[in-house]
Formats: sequence, C-alpha cells, structure tokens
Amino acid sequence: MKKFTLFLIIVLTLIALFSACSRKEQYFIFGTTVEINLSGAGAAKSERLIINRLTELDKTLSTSLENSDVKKINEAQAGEAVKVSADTLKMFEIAFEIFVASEGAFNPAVFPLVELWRFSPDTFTIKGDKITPPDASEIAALLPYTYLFDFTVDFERGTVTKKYSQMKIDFGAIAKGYAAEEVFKLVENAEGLINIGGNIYVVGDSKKIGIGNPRASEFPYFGSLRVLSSITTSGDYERYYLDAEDESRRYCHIIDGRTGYPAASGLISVTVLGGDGGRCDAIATAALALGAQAGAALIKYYGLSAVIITDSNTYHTVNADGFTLTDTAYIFAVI
Amino acid sequence: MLAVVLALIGLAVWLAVPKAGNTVEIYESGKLVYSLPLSEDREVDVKGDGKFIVKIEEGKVFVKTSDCPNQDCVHSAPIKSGGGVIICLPNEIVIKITATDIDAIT
Repeated sequence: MKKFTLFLIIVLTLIALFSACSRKEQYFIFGTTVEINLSGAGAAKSERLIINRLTELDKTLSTSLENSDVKKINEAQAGEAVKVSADTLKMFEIAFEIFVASEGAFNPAVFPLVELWRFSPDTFTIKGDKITPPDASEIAALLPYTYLFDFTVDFERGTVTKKYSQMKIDFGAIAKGYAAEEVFKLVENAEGLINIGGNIYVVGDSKKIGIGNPRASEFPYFGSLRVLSSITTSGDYERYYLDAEDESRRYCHIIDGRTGYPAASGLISVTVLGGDGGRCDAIATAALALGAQAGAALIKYYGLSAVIITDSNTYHTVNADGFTLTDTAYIFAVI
Repeated sequence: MLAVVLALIGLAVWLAVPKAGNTVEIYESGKLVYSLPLSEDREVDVKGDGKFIVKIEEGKVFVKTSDCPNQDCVHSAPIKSGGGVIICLPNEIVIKITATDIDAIT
C-alpha cells in the first residue's frame, strides 16, 4: 500500500506541474460563452486584459444594459444627438459597409423586427419553441423605421442621431467578431485560441477547428479545417422557433433586412475564415440571408474563404480546399 | 517498477494536456461500445439491463447508477471536455472523453 501511495503522489504532482503552464477558462460575458485557451508565460496576464476589454465592450454595446451606447441610441428621440464611444462608431462603420455590400439583406437596424419576432435577448423564449408568426401587417408597419442610413453618424463629433424615434440598432451580428479581434490583439507571450460565442481567433500556430453541426447528428461536428487566423459561423440553429402549425417550418433569429422575415434562402450555416473579425461575423450573417450564390459572391468579393451548408443536405466551399467533411449525411455540391 | 512509474508519468502527461474533447467513449471489457457527442444530453444504459447508467448532461459525464459493491465510479467527479477518465473495475467499464484532433468548434 505504501508503494502505491508513493506512485499516486508522483502522478498527482506531475499532473499539477504540467497543468500550471496552460489555462483553459470558460466565462459567460458579452451575452455568450467565452473560452480562453492560452498557454505560455503571458497567459494569465493576457486573460485578465481580455476579460477587462470584453466587459468594457459589453457595457458599450449591450442592448439591455442601462447606459450602454446602444441602449441610449435605442431610447433616444428623433433628432437627438447621442454621444457614443469609438467602439460604437466602429460598429456603425462596419454595419454601413456590409449593409451596402449585401444590398440590405444584412441590416442591424432591423432590431424593432428582431423584437417583434421575439429574438432579442429580452424576448427570446427557448430554442425550438412553437410560435405563430407575426402578422404581415405588423411587419410592414415596422419596416419604414429600419433603413440603416436613417441613423446619421457624425464620425468626427462621435454622435448618432435617429430620423425616427422608433428606430433601434443592434450589433449582435458584428460585435462578437469584433470583440474576438480586439482581444486577440491583447495577447502577449502566449499562444492558443480564443472563442467568443463561436467566433474563434487562433494565436500562434494554426489550429484544427471543427464546424458545428447545424442539425442533431451522431457526428460531433460537421467537418473541420486548419485555421491560421480567424473563423466564425452563422447558422439557423443558434436561436430559432418552429411554426406551431407546421413544425418543419423554422424561423431563425437572422432577420433578412429586405423582407423583415427570418432568413429563408436555403442555407442553414455559413462559416467564414480570415479577414477582420467584425466584418467576417457580419459577412457570415449576410451570406446566410443572401443564399448560396449571392452569399458566395459577397465572400469572394472580400477575398475570404467559406463553407456553406444548405437545407438540402449539400454543402459548398469557397476558397476552402482544405476542408474535411465528417458528417457523411452531406454531399459536396458546386454552387 | 520503473516501467510502471514511466507508464504513470505518461498517463499524467496525457491527462494534464488540455484538449477539446467532444466525444464520449464508453468501453466495456476493452471494447468500444458507445461513441456519442458530448453536446447532447442523454442517459446511456451501458449493459442494457439498467444496472449501469451513464449520464451526459450539460457537457459533463458521470455514472448515475452502478451495481458495483464500492460505488467508486458513482462517487467519481464528473468528467468534462478537458479530459479525465471514469473507471469501474468490477464492471470492466471505462468512460472517457476523447481527445479528438480538433481544438475547438465554431
């Protein structure tokens, strides 16, 4: 027994020694799960800096926290100039750009509709909840207040002014990607990866990343690829409802800015690699609303790579020859 | 003796290095009998007679029921994607979360 105890002590000491060099921490900040998986001398310090920056971004961009820039904008009256931070200005810059590039399919100004469909953090019930969709007249009534350029942004003075009091903005489709890139810049003397609600930045050597399976499956993930810098996925399975009268009909949380209805372009997942975090996040969302052809064109226009999964068990790749399929229920198809 | 120490050191290293495991593997008498996603909550009746139940819940795996005399496996801490093994010697059952070759899932 004594010898066994000695072995146990050796083993436990070795485990403790090896574990001290690397950290894998999970947090819930920014309305999502954040995983910081870093190793190296600078890991602990980098992690502290990351948490601080994420907390700061959450305070600025949250739709529900009192005194966030977004909340102030959303509660402001028409014509009232709201002073905002540099991060918020950056969000608007990316929003305007991708709104134009996607011809309105991607539109952060549809937040009044996001709330109508009950997909905002405050209104969301549960995944797969059975709902009766809003009336076409309710949607039509709100659309006039969702033109993104009716937010006048003075980038010099740092102010945002609404044309209509009913207008509301939400950067949920850009913020996590932007946050991932911002905190990536803070890492020093460490390597590993940072995962902010599925927006992943690789620090140091490339990593093999799996794409989440869009539907329940025996396979733990859809497929994988080697990622050098960043990767993000937009899908119709993150937040969705099912039609109370026809459960095969799904309403996902990404509202197509052109229609006011959930994206229904035949795509269930779009993964985008490379490029800057905020833009990639927005482009993945835009592509989901645009559909395979227009979505791929947008991705190619930005010189990015992507894996696109359709609702007919097929998938496409854009500049992503290194992708390996795991879920054999899907078949590769050319766009 | 030296071989055993080296083997234990190897085990320590294997257990200590964090990996993004996401598949639960259950072995019975050395044979892989279940390979399931960690992300899906479920109960597994390993032997089929209700006497050994493994539960996967919110990313954690533990033994809910066992017919072994000491119940060591039931008392073991739940294992998660970071690594770990639960063993039931009398039943010859080993439960682990595989260190798959991917680092994270987007």
